[in-house]
Amino acid sequence: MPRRSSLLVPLALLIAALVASGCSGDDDGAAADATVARGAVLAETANLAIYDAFIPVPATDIGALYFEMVDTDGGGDRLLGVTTTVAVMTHFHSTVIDGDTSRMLPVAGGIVLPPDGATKLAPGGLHVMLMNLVTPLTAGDTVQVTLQFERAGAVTIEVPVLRYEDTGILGGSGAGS
Amino acid sequence: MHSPLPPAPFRTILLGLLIALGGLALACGGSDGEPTAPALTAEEQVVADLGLAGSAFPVALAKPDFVLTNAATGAPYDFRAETAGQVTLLYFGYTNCPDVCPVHMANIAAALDQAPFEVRDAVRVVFVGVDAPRDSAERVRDWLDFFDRDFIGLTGTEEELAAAQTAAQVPVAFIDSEFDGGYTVAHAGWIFLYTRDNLAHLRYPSGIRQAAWAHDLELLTTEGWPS
Repeated sequence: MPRRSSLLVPLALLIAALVASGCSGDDDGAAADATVARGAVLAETANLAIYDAFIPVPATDIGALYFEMVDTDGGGDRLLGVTTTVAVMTHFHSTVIDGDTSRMLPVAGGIVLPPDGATKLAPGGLHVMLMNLVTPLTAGDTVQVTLQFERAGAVTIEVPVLRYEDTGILGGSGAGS
Repeated sequence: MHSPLPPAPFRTILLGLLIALGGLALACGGSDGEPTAPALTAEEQVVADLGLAGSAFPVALAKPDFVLTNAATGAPYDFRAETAGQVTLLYFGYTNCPDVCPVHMANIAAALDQAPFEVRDAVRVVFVGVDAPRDSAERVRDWLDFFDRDFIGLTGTEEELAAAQTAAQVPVAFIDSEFDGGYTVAHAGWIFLYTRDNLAHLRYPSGIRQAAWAHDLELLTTEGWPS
């Protein structure tokens, strides 16, 4: 398969950031996912809280972890890494639509949690890729995941493995983005 | 090995910025702006009239002529002949894709699972594994079976896959970013839908959900594209 240099990567990320942050308030469709009421808090530290983590049942030995992190002290933070016993490796990736191509780009330097903000990892955007799962995951399983933050340190959460039908990803109608 | 045209970075960057700005302008147009009704093409008018979730091509695309290998049987699969006259979804993805590919498949599988038998029976879903080194027939089949055993999985050599993507008028997949222990693949972001007239009038981006698929597939299998 051909390789291509990463020249366009910053551009794609810039466009994605512009579009994502360009406006707010009256979005509908899949974008409204970011504004639906949060579920129970899974972990809370002095400066942030973690909500709504899930892993869709992986079709192969590759999986994805999604959750939302919310700043609670105005100081912001940075997610530096993720470890779990069920995956040999984890990587931060962001899915970016670049023209007619769907790309998955590495997120260098960790995932930023802005001061007084929230960062949602969601399908079609930011996600933690779980590489080389050491055991098949099935619906109903719970996976222990440790999130390593710059300020909050290590935060361990219990993440449910959900059928796609139960994740909320498929629900609703119309096109997402 | 197929080599894509060299990128034209400056033109692309300029175009990208223009698109981003245009998108911002569209997305942020306040209610105080003058609502202007953009002129619709004939195909876009059909989409609007029928309330379809897909996006219309300016001009419908002919069903591509390519032959790959059916992952289930190892036999050649002549896409145009095998799917002639059938409502057909064509997706170029890869099985090591953790995010958008499985979500696409799960949405379509869920829509068909709950569709009337006549609809389900009339739709062909064809997935092409574009990551030749890793998308073996067995892996493609395992991956698809997780979503729906009736989905058709195709594999091929690098050359065959490139030819198929070119024939289908989608960007040829390429290795995007390499990291310790793996790599990601950039691939066509749209699913093309061919109606019974063997034309793709519509394409679907990532993010189309179950209910929208169900609506469009039922309408296009029962009514078809208006002639």
